[in-house]
Amino acid sequence: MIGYPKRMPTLWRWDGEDEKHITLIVQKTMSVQLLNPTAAYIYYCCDGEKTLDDIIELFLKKYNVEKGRITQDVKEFLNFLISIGAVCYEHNGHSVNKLT
Amino acid sequence: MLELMPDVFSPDFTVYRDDYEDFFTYIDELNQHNLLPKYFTAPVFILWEITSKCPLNCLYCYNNSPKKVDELTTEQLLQIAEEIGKLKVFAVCLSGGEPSARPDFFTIAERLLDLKIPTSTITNGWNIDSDKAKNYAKYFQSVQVSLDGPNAEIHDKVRRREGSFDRAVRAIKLFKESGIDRISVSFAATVHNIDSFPSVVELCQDLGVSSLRTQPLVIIGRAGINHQEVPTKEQFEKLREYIRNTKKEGQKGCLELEWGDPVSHIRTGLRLGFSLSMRITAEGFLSLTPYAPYIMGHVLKGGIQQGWEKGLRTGWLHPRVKEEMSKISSIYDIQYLDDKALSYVHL
Ligand SMILES: C[S@@+](CC[C@H](N)C(=O)[O-])C[C@H]1O[C@@H](n2cnc3c(N)ncnc32)[C@H](O)[C@@H]1O
Ligand code: SF4
Repeated sequence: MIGYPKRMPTLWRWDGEDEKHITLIVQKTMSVQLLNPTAAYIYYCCDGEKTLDDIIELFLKKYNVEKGRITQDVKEFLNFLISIGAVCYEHNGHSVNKLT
Repeated sequence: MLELMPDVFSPDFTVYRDDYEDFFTYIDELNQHNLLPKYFTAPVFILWEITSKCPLNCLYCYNNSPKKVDELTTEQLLQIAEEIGKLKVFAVCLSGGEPSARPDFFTIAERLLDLKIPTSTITNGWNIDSDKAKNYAKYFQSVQVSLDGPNAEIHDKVRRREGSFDRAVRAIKLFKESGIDRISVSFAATVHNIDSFPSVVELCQDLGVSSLRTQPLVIIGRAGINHQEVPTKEQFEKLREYIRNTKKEGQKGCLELEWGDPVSHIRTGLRLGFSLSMRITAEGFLSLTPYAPYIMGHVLKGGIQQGWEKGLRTGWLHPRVKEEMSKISSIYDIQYLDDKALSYVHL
């Protein structure tokens, strides 16, 4: 499935002493979410131009981990971001609310 | 990941959790795996007291408003707003004193809106008319009105001005009429009004407000001077129990009841080490929260960023703050900090 995860418009910033965390406002709950560095990298990659596979490839380059596991982890985390409304995922012009 | 629930309506943005022992275990686990930052690049929330002017004179006001201080000019306030925008602060609460007593109140609010900074405000409702209410609807994500009793007799006694109850209720109605969705009420408990809380709950339901919040008084400022007005531990426990039970029963329809706890707020700060919030006083002093009244900077000396970087971002770890705050085990210990209020912490 080719789709392009995209950050929803909100206030967010790189955060923490080495600016590898991200903090953002979750509009749905008006709460502030702090993302740890790996979560932050995935969120950052959701620019509406990269596919899920692109993100996984980038992730593999950055972190030395096994592909099978990472695919599942990235999907799960993207599903979390979609569920809180921080990211939307479009596939063939339709928005998808869960990656399988 | 960690969700930091900003309580944008309380004077201190309490990160309160009923299950905070679990929360601390969670924090420790995250720390073990190096998943938490050592500090944030900028405040997450700012409590901004834009004035010390106030038409009321509540028995317990933590910052002793109304009082005469060298307030900042409109230009200086706008400069602060600019910096807040640049630093991407996630929530600002305009407070005071009575924030609407400043003629440039909406100018500041408008600038924050233009900068896309989520902003809320707190008011005693004294000078709200329907035009002003429309401006509140335009500029603020949520508005909190202080209501210290279910009737004029009780409320006006605590807030020490006749007519203040009627005006607070009128303000809530005008805010509703102007379409503000999130109107909350805060109730500060003293010996005069603590038993009337259930009636305030009823009133809030009738008025259609979305949440009602209370917490033990912070025994600082006038609450320290008038300490005979502070309820006992047992009275606060009873109030807390009432809130817990009412929430459990889920009886209050759309009205959400909230309980804040200054002591757990302090414990959270000490445990996390890093700060989430910053308080700016009407004079421009910078401190962590009203509960930790150590001045760690001034907006006119390097601005928010310098105050944050030089000390506030890890202010809970400052040896003096840590030593004194660690001794606080109940709200009644907070009063001993008062003589240290407005004293500089040398960084
Ligand atoms: C300082 S007032 C400023 C806004 C406005 N003048 C008002 O009263 O709503 C902000 C909030 O702080 C609360 N407050 C003031 N002193 C307090 C104290 N010693 N302990 C707890 N809350 C306090 C007030 O009841 C009010 O809801
Ligand atoms: S609590 Fe608010 S209304 Fe009361 S004296 Fe303080 S600033 Fe004024």
